[in-house]
Amino acid sequence: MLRLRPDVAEPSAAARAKALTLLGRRLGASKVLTDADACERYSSDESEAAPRVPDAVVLAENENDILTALAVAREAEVPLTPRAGGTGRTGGAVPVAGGIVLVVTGMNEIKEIDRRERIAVVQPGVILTDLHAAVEKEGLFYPPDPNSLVGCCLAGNVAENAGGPRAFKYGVTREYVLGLEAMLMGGQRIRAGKRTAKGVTGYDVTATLVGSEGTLGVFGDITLRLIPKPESVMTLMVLFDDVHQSGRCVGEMIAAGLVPRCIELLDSATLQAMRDAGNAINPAAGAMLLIDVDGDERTCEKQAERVAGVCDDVGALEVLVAQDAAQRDRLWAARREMSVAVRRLAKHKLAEDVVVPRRRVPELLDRVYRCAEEQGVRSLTYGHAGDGNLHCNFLWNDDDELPRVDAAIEQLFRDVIDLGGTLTGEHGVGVLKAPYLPLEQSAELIALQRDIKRVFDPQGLLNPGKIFPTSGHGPC
Amino acid sequence: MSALHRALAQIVGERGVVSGHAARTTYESDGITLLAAVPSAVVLPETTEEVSAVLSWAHANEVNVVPRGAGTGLSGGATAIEGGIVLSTARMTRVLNIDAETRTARVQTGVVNIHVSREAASYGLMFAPDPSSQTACTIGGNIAENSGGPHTLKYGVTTNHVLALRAVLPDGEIVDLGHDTGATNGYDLVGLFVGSEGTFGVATEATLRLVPRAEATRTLLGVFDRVRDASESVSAIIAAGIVPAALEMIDRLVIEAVEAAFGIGLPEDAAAVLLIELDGVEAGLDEDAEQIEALCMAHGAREVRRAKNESERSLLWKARKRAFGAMGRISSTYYTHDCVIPRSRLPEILDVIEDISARQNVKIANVFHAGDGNLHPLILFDDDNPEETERALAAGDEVLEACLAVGGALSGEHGIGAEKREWMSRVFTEADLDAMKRVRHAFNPTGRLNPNKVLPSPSPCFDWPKKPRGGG
Repeated sequence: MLRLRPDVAEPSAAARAKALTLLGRRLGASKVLTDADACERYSSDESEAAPRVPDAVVLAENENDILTALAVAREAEVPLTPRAGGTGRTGGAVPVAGGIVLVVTGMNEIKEIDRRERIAVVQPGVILTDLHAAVEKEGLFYPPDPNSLVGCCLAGNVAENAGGPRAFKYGVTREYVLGLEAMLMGGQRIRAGKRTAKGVTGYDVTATLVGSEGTLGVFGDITLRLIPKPESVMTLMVLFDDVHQSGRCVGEMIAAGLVPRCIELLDSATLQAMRDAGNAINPAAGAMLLIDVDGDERTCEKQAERVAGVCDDVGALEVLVAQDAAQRDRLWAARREMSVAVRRLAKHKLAEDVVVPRRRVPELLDRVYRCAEEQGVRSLTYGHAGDGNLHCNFLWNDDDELPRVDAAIEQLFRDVIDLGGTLTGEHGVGVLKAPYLPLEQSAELIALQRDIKRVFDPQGLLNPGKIFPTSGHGPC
Repeated sequence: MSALHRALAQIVGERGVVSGHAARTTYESDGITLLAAVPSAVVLPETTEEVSAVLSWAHANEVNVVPRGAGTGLSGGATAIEGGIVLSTARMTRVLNIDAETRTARVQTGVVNIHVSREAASYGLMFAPDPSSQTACTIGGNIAENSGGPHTLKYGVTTNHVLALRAVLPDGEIVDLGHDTGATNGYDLVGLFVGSEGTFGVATEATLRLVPRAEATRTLLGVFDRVRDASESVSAIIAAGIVPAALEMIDRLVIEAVEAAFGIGLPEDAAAVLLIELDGVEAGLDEDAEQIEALCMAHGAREVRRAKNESERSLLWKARKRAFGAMGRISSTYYTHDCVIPRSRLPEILDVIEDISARQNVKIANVFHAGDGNLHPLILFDDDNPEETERALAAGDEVLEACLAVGGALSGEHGIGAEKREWMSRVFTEADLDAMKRVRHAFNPTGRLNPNKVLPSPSPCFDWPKKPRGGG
């Protein structure tokens, strides 16, 4: 199913031509790209989702450009796919039926950071790492930190409800979106939510939009809640015999009431990939936890001590506490370089983002190993162990391995559901997981969501082929 | 025995239906007694399936249904203003499961808020949202209103603590929303459902997030001779980057009422007190407490007291949580308002409220969540005096106007209900409201579940998509 496109009708030649004419007339050549190279460039994200190259790419500079592009899509009846940083992992920004790709990266101004109210107002195309730098300069903190933070934009984070390692303590994007502007398919510009710390005025349309994967509206300004920047951070690297031991350790930490900032798990195959890339890691280790604690200095030290104590109690092989910022950076650099190291292992890599109840993590990994072995597919897993949110990676080189990869993925999803888990933690459903949604959700629940989709986008032109299974798309 | 009674008794049994007039009158209003309407019957189901059967029946027979928890709401959300039956969750009170490892509780939604924390206490856990009505209000009501409470400053409001829901839609269909792990797959229907004020469906079970009880707390009472000094202190604490668990203001009129009722020992000559609680790990807590004391003193506090033990602490909290009830000591009636302002505007807004009080010649008492800018002006009046009632209502409107003028929100935690519907078009454009209507239509196309709440009436025309649910 990896390379299978959802069954979404492509627009007619006349509709495409009309769209191009209208875009040219209303936005002008500087904002509309139609050459084959550009269209190709904006047709994929960081997933294996197969695109249908769009007919035009709109580079929006302001909200009126967004409204214009939506109006053209509506009038010409061509699909429109919104796109921010293009770093998504499930094909959310991949056009599956041609039409228009609407790019918001040009709208990248941080409009306001208010220390007293602890809020920031950003345009949709602001890159996450730029926001982090700007708010931290003010002594404030915006916790969500997906791995793609140097390339992903706030609009994409909001659309996918992005997480990251720090979500264990601080929660995901939705906890930080106070309000936002959205441009709807019908041409309305709405303002949802609030700027105050609290507020329950009417329905929580903000909640509907966060995580809607670009299917309900295109975002304008986003108002974010900030928190005070934790004074200090300490990092521990802990090695274990295997994932069962690390799993026990996580359970014990939680039971002891400890709330580290993040608890990252790297499994045996991941550690081997890191060793192969030149990192010196104890060869006896079959699992690693990278743990950050934060707070004021004394709280931090106390927590680190207690975490180390729990690790010792479960019989960890090694507990290393980073002694200074440089050592801490080295530990995290190794973690970040790991995804590059993994990428080098094979031509293709698919990271499946799944969640199981925390205590079932070792059990899921056992099943993944067994299934990968049966299918003869190389796999390695890392992820946010504190949340039970794992990224199971499958690697392959030749397309003739695809059926086996597909089989392994489907088995993974069935195992996840069987263990009481869910199919996505932070990457969204997008194109790639849409066929599997019925594994987890009842027909009634999917119908209810389709109703919500329909009241916002009756023609079904906004980011079609995402979230919901289409007929002829997938096994379910 | 009416036909209505018979139909409902067939679903829930005789003891699940209330139809005598006197008994129904108990359900005529919630905490806003100015808005009253006696329902034609009250039905008390005990299971999700019974709720589903009641809603299916009502859907088929075109009967309005108003869901109700404990009836402690303060915006008329549980009042059957358009007639119809009340569906009470009062008999769905079981805590089904507490899982210490995942820190979650599965409950029936009629369970009283504080019972969840009591059940969780032996695991060292609690349910964080703690509205003042927590000894009576239900989790279902909290979900409907997205309730807050003093400790939500640090811990977040109800929506931050609900992971999954079982809900019955207006046509009787049962759906499971969200996931016990908190992950969302597809649209965030839990986020949308929480705060929908009983108009999207009836939640019958919920998976709640529990949080560890703090290892240690410090509870401080800052005493001020001037309200403005108290509010400046609030701003200073927030600006210093400290996140107290709670930061509450209680003004002179409320102190007077609380002292008359409970004799706790609050300084009756103070203009206002701040009740400030810090919690977390023991290490570092005293430094934060000292910093707060220093900030309060620097902003003109007369003194800052510290609770020496748990009994002193609970006494201070009794003063705060039972303040509304104590108001009866100094006024026959009061109107509880709820609005939010950007918290840095606190000093000026309290001045404005004082002006309004003087101009309208009604007393306004303030007891509220200062840390997140959530005001609760209590307007005191005599409801036997029509002219004074008029002035009290006018004063309430002026307070709301003033909050909106500084960029505030219409409600912080009590909801819009029947009370503030007409204000909605003051803060939202037609397009914003239209988006809300569209969302409601997806859940409640006939509008017969809790009719005429939240959105202004009458509903303007909107071309609803024609396809039935589940199509294309």
